Amino acid sequence: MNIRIISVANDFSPSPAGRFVDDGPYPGALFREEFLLPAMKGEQLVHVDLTGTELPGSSFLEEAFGGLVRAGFSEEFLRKHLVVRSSRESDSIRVWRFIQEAATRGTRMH
Amino acid sequence: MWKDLLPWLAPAFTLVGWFIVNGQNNERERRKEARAAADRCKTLAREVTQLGYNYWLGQGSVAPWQIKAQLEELEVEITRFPADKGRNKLIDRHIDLVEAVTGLDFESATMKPRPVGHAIYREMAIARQRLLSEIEQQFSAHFQ
Repeated sequence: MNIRIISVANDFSPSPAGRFVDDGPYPGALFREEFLLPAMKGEQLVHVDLTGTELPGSSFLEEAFGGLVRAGFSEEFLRKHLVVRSSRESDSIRVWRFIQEAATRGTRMH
Repeated sequence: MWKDLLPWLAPAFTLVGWFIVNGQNNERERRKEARAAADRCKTLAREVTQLGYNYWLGQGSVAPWQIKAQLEELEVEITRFPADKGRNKLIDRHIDLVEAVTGLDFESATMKPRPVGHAIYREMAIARQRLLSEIEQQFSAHFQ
């Protein structure tokens, strides 16, 4: 099984912040486009490690991980292929909340 | 036989009494430390919410890193609660506060202050109140 490990602190930035590219140098959209999407498309299992980063704002996490759902990945697929690790207990829970919320919004009937 | 034991009774009772009092003292100290830790969590939760209000109102030059550092400190304090009686619920309430304070366009270079009637302030206040309440619940569950 191919596993891609992404250390946010080492590979991207120890201070990820903001949502969109014009929010700052290391926003969620950039992380999604440059790291998450290529990894999710190419690997069977992707480990994202948030250890060593500042506490990421919800704006960053929502755009990076909730954005995966908006980019076409289902929550079910992500649960099978994405693992989130961190020294903080809350990070993984937050990521999965955003994925779930994005999936719920996507399937809501209007 | 009883005559032989008699001289040892007083020291034996003293020893048993010492163990009981010592146990009670330890329990009291543990409770005091836990109370102090719970109060520290509550203070941090109140302070970070105030920082959040000031940030979103555009008052007092609050930098995002100050808010994040304080939220992180709060999480460290919260995870000191023992895990065996529903700490996950406490972490959930902490996450609610993190999301309320750091959502929308938090950390955006073009972030616009929100007027005082904006829903974000109510969300922060509710999240803070639920967290404070859960801290007390956890304290009661573990130390009372």
